[in-house]
Amino acid sequence: MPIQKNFIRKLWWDTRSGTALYLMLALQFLNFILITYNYLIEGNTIFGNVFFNLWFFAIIFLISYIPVSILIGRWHRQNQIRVDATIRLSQNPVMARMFRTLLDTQTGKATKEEIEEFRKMLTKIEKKDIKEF
Amino acid sequence: MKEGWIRRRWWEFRQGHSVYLIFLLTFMNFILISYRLLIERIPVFKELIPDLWIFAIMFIAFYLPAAVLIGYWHRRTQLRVETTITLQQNPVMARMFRTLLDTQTGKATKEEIEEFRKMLTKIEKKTDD
Repeated sequence: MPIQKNFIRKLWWDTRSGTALYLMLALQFLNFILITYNYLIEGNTIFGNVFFNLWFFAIIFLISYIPVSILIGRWHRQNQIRVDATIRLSQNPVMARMFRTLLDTQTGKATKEEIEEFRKMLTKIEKKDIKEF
Repeated sequence: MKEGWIRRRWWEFRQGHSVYLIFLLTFMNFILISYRLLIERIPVFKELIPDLWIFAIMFIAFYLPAAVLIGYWHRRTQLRVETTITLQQNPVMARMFRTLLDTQTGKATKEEIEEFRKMLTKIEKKTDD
C-alpha cells in the first residue's frame, strides 16, 4: 500500500482530534467523578447518604450530564455561534483585505499595483500548499 | 430519522460539554484538589479559609472578573493575530482567492479555472445536508 501524502502529520492531526474530541471526555469524566466522590461526597453526611457508592454517583452523573449537555449545545448552535462567528470575522483583517481587494477589482477601484501586491501575498501563502488537491 | 441525527446530537453534546459544562467540572476539580490537598493541610491557610464553601466563593468571585478581563483583552488585541496567522497558513483558501482574482483580471487559464472548479465540487460533495 502506498504511503499517503503528509502521512505522519495527518496521523498527528488524527491523534490530536481523537484525544481532544473523544478520549478527553472519558478522562475528564473520570477525573471529575473520582475527585468529587473522594473529596466531597465520601464522608459527608448529606451527600454520602444520597450517593452511597462511587458507581451509583458515576451513573447518576452521566445520566444527567448527557441530556443537559445536548440541550445546552443545541442552544449554543441556534443562538451563540452567530456571535462567535461575528467576533472571529470582525477580528480577521487578512480575510477582510482579501474580500475588499476582490470587491475593488470587481468594481474597478483597485489599482494594478494593489492587485499585484495582493496576488503576491496569496501566492506566498499558496506555496505552503501540502499538495492535497 | 435523518442519517446525520446522531452525529448532530453528538456535536451538540460536545459543544455543551466543551464550551459550557467543562467549566463547572474544572472549577469543581480545582476547588476540591486545592482545598483538600493544599489549604486543609497548611494551618495558616486553614485559619484564613476555614471552610470549603468559603474558598469556592472566593475563588469564583476572583476568577470570573479576571477571566472576563483577559477575554476582553484577547478579543481586542490577540484574536486578530491568531486569525492572521491561521489564514497565512491556509494555502487552500489563498488558492481560492487567487483563482477568483485571476478569473476576474483575466489572468487565469481555462484549465486552471476548470481544475479549481473540480476541487470545489469535490469539497462540496462532502456536505451533510
